[in-house]
Amino acid sequence: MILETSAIGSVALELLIEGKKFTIHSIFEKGWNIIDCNEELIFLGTDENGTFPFGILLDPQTKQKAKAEIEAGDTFIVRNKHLSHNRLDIKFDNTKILPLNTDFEHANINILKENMQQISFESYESTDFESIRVSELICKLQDASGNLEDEFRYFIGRGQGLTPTGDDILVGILYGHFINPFIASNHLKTLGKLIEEPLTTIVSKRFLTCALEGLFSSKITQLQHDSSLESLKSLMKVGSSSGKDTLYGIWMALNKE
Amino acid sequence: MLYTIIKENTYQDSIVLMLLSNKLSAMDGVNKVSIMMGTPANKDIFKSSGLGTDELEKAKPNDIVIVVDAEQEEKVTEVKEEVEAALKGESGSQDASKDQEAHNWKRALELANNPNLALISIPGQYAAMEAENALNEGLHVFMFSDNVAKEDEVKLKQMAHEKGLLVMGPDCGTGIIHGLPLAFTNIVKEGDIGVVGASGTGIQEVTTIIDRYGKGVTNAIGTGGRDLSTEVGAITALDSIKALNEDPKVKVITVISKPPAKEVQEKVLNVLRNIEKPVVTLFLGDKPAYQEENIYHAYTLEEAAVVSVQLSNGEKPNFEPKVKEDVNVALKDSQVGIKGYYSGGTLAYEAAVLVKAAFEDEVPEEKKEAYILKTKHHEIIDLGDDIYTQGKPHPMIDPEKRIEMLETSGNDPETAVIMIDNVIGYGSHDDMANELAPTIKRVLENARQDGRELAVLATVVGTEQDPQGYDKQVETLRESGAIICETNDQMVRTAINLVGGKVEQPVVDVQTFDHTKEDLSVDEKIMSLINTKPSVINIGLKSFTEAVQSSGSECVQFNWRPIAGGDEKLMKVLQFLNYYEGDKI
Repeated sequence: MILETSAIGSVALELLIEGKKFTIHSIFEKGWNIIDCNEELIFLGTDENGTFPFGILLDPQTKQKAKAEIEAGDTFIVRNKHLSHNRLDIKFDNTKILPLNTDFEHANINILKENMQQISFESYESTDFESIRVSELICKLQDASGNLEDEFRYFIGRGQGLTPTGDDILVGILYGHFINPFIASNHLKTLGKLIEEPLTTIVSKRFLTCALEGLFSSKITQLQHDSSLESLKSLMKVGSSSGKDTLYGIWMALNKE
Repeated sequence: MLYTIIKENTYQDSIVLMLLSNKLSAMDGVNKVSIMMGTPANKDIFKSSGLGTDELEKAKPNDIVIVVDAEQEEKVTEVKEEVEAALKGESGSQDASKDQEAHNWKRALELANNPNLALISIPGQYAAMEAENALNEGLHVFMFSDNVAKEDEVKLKQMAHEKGLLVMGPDCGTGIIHGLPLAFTNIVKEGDIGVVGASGTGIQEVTTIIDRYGKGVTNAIGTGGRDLSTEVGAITALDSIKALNEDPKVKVITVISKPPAKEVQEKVLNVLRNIEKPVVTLFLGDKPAYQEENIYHAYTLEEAAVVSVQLSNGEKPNFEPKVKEDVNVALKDSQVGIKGYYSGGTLAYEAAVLVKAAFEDEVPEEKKEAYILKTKHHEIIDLGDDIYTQGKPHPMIDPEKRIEMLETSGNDPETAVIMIDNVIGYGSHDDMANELAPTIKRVLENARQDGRELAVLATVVGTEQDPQGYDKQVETLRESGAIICETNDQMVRTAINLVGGKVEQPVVDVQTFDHTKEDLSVDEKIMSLINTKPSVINIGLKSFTEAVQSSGSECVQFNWRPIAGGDEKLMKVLQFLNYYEGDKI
């Protein structure tokens, strides 16, 4: 069975080197993850949660067909611009490359902030990520002095889900930084170094490394082009709480003192 | 005692883990449970919440860790089984979202995938409030609930119209939206006839006849019985008609209602006169006094269906009512009564209209109980009327009352003909024909032993695609001795014929009327509703969710519970405050 991909992210494309072997790491409703020997991860699936720089986009039918044939632990090998599995072949030779959407200057911060006022983040006050704690981190991020390793260790890998809440909030804060820079570069370096340690899940690590490079899912970068409440709601629907956690990080970053 | 379960390198959608966590927490003998990925930060959480164990230290960030505080060790086996089932059963391949249920709007909206329709079947006194919430979230509303105050209906429909949304109902029993059957509905082929109807079984009868003629209906929009009242002013009907007019896939527009208030009828007709597509109207109860060049005024449901089919085929309308001729029943002179026991309200109403027209000199007795018609000899009863359904299931689900009526009228020596309908489709009994058949057989046999003959006429409202199967239902009823009529119109005319009466079909001229120009534009959101498979949030009856999902549409079940302990006044205050705070999500 030969299946076509709809589009591919640039990070994923770079990883698809001829002859390289990937293993199916995890299978979900919307797609599956494969990892290489360095635990670099590519997501194959639909765009219901947006598209990712490390993603290969499949239409729902293709995803469904492929999912019926695969199991966790199966192998894919890159051959002639195909991802070859023993029961199927996924072609990516003529597929379009997903835009990176790094045009952060297009974000309308005022409208974004105004529309975000419609969303209540009060529920975070009874969690490990109450607003005082998050704003304290954001405050320290602006100041190049000091080392924030302990603060980062608190956030990374903390909370429910495959992408723990703390990580999603950090991704949100990083997005806030890219549209309105405020984080001192030494702190970004510290964060980059820490996520190489086994502090969080492979999937979450992938999101964080991309975010550090200014690469975000399309549900997030959509906010640069359309700051409406609809866009915000669409991001909130990602995962069971991931989208909202990210939005909380953005909100806190944009409202820093 | 604390027990640790580590699932190495295991991943699951977080919703699966949350559901699992809820399930485990609810188990007897489990004091506390926590499920998280084994990251260092999460291990700290385990420890600080009193769930720290030695084994926990072995867990790695890509492992799922479950720590249970249980009274007995045996509990852990049970927990492990639940964990295995959850992680295996749900591992990826199933659409987990399908099994998700919400208990509030926020969660329902999060779970739903671009929802555009709320299907509401909660008790009437609360339905209006939730309909308002749905409209505020930008959703169209299909209100199955009845007992909604008329002023609430007016308010909701005005609000919907301003927002470019549609409110179908309240008391909307039937609807087909872009091929998706809603509530009590038949599976009808898709096609180029668009239906707008203010009556439930009226829509069912018309759409199923169209289906059996080989044509189809992609949208049958129910408006609720009061839409064409003076107060409501046909808000939903007019928006629906305009939408069907704008939809290029619709070739013929069919409008069904009981006779509306005069000024509303004029308003509706004026809009229809602005439309170029062929239109069929049925104001059931009014005998058409004229035809129009582009609007065919039908007298019965079958006529509306047949003419719609003819117009869709590009043919000239030509309807000849049918009577079943080969009915071999020897009636005595004393047998003069027609008895109709209906589960479909509009079908009962149509029967009453025709019987009344055939026996104009018989003055109907005063209306009492659920008699749609009661004269010296004849009676037509809607067993779906509130009087019969209070505290009991609807006769489309429960055969009891019909069985009782069949027995009683069968024993009455004056009875000549008994008529029954069998409305199949979603929401109806799995096999009503099989429930009624033994009684029909017995009633006929008892009459024979009593030296009489009887005619039991039956009509099945449905299609071959319906879960019960049209042919199978017909066959079961036929075997019991019932005489099968293809439509309600045919059944009633046959009954009238058997007792020596006749219904004259109106013969009328084509007339022309002046009309004022009407803006036929309609909001994009309504066009999008009828042109795409709806994504539904179902508030109330769970079976509706299953029906929507089995038709291939997305549906999130919202298990509604009244807030404020069901105190209506307090609920309204909370509702007000909710929106007063400025649309907080």
